[in-house]
Amino acid sequence: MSLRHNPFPRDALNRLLSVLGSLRLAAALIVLLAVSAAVGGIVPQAATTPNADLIYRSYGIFWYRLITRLSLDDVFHSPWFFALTGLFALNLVLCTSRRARKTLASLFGEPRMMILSEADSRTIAMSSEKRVRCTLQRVAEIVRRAGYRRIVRLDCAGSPPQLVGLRRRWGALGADIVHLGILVILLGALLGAFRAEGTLRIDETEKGQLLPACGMEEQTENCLAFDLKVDDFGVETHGETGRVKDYWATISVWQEDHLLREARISVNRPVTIQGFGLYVWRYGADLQSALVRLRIIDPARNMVTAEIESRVGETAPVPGKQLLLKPLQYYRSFALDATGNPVDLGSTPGGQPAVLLQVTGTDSTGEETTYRDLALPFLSETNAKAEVSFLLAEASVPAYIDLHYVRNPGYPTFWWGFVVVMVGLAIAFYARPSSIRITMEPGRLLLRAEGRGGSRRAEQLAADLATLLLDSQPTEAEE
Amino acid sequence: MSKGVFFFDISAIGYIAAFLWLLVARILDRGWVRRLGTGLFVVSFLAQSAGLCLRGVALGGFPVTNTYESLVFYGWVFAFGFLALLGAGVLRGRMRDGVGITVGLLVAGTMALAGSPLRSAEIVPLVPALRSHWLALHVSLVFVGEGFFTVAFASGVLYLLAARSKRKGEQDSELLERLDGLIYRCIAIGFPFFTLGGLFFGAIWAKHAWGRYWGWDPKETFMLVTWLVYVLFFHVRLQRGWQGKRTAWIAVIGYLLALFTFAGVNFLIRGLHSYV
Repeated sequence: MSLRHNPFPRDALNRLLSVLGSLRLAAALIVLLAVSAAVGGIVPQAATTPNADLIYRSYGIFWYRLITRLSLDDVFHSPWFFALTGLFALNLVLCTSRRARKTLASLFGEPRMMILSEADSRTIAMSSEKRVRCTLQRVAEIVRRAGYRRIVRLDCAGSPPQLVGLRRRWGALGADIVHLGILVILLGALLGAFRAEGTLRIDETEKGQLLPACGMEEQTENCLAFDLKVDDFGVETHGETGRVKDYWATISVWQEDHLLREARISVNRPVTIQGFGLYVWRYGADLQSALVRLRIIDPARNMVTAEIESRVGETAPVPGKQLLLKPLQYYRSFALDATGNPVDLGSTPGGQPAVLLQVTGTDSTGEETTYRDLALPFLSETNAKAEVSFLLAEASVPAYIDLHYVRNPGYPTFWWGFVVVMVGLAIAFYARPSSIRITMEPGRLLLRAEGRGGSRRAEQLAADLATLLLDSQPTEAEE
Repeated sequence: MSKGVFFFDISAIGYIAAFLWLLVARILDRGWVRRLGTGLFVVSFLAQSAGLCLRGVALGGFPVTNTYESLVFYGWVFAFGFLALLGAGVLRGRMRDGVGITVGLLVAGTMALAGSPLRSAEIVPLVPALRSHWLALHVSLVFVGEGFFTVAFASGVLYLLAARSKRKGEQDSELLERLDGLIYRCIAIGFPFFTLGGLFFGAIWAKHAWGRYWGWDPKETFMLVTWLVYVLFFHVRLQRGWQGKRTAWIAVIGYLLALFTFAGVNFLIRGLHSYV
């Protein structure tokens, strides 16, 4: 009985690693990632699309099921997309480590002798063996002058000597550096999962107030590390056209009653304080906080009987009537969409402002009734026939600004990844390694140039060298 | 105010004439006809450059602030890519005719689309999100990359057409080999520009404007998809030794995706990059 070593587990592991780091898998993953990303770009993503569910339903039941079951409504946060990206990273690690090992070995090791034949080399006929010996040192000199910094002479028993010139050997590392950079970027993205971010909405009434550090976010890990005060904010416009030029805010940052910093931020000009980037995100009119002044009209007498002021969402009693009035929505420019629903067209020149009202009262039987009415700056025909009508006299809409804050521990890693990728790309494309081999045979020189990607330039260089070698043959006097 | 439009109109007419002239040159195979076509192309390019400069001065910045300007600049980089390769002596003989005709058609098409009544040529002040020096770096480098991709696409189309005629018996292996080399060379030149301008400078700008470097916005997503297709091109070509029809197809698909990222996403899918 003999003890036999079972190589299966090791072989299987090697085979698995070989498959996981293979180019075939890399190509398949690149295609899969591209297709997945394209699907995520075409299918409206639920997180950023209002009424996404309704949109999916409009495609039909088959597509609705497909989209929801395969998480195509949130491709970039789906488990299968993470799995694909993870597999891609693993493939990159294995492939790069294997490649880099080979590249480093070729960088620091001695080149191997290669038998050159007339079929794959340029042949330069020489008159005698003596001449060949004479040119050997000059060949090395010319090869060095052509930019091949490392020149190695290989001697092998039974074979003629071979001269190997190597140029930009480190250029072979370009692809590995790019791979490394992509891995660093992926690491940065992974670290980004630990980011803290949130949005603070400040309207005009909150200027100069110390704001809660957590903004609109409920999770405490998304809170700012300091207190923030928005001293002022506004909008800059182009003088001639009145178009918006910039949104800005002046802020002051406080910590334990000490002023840390004051700054002016605007779109594209954020500020970073204690690792938190503060950005001006949005500026607009806060229609939900609009203050409206309404005139109560008695249509029978065509008289203004009273005036009330109320904020959107707040209920106010109508003087002289058993009615409660609640402005539901203010429209800067009122219009009806195709389905008959009221919409706000924004600050359209010549637009008609309006307020949608909810009126609650009691009818003759004592039962409570609620109806909706629209108050415009003039009396419409419908309003004129009603028992009581409302006229929109004035409205003031407070402006608001959204400040976004982010602290992402992945940023530095991410930026370094970019730098590494660009350095790698520059090396891979513009510093390609090349080599030249020259074998000295009795009566002739065999010359072969090699460059990555079958570069013709390297071949051209070989031809030039061949000419130079012929030109530099020692004259009779030198001999 | 619509500065530069006169020059753009001149160049559009010039490009159409150059395209037709190069087509005639291809049929007649006469040197002087070919030279005249190339000359027309160069004059149109100069007129377009002058228009862009004028517009840039009027705008006080890089003229890529709306679809009209972007289309004009897009056409300019196509022409630049072609002329750069012509000047470097990469394009010769039949290859020069073929690439010139295809690029001429593309530039003329882009200029015609820009000049259509659908796109306003008015100079409109920049919206706050575009008021950044990253605009020039981001857009110009992407377009320079895509200019070379355009030549790669033109070479890819020519390769596929030539390979088809070869199948029918007409032998032109040298042309095929040169076109194949040109596809690789153009993508190798354009890819670093595309990566740096599109992905990296775009990410830096996104971080400045929106507080995140990547947000899976449709434009960003399709730029990544295009980038991945070109990554695939390099892998299969350099590592697996793919050449010829297969890589020509990848060059064509990659470019169509780049076009979709530029125009299709703007018009069909709404996102943060939808500026008209």
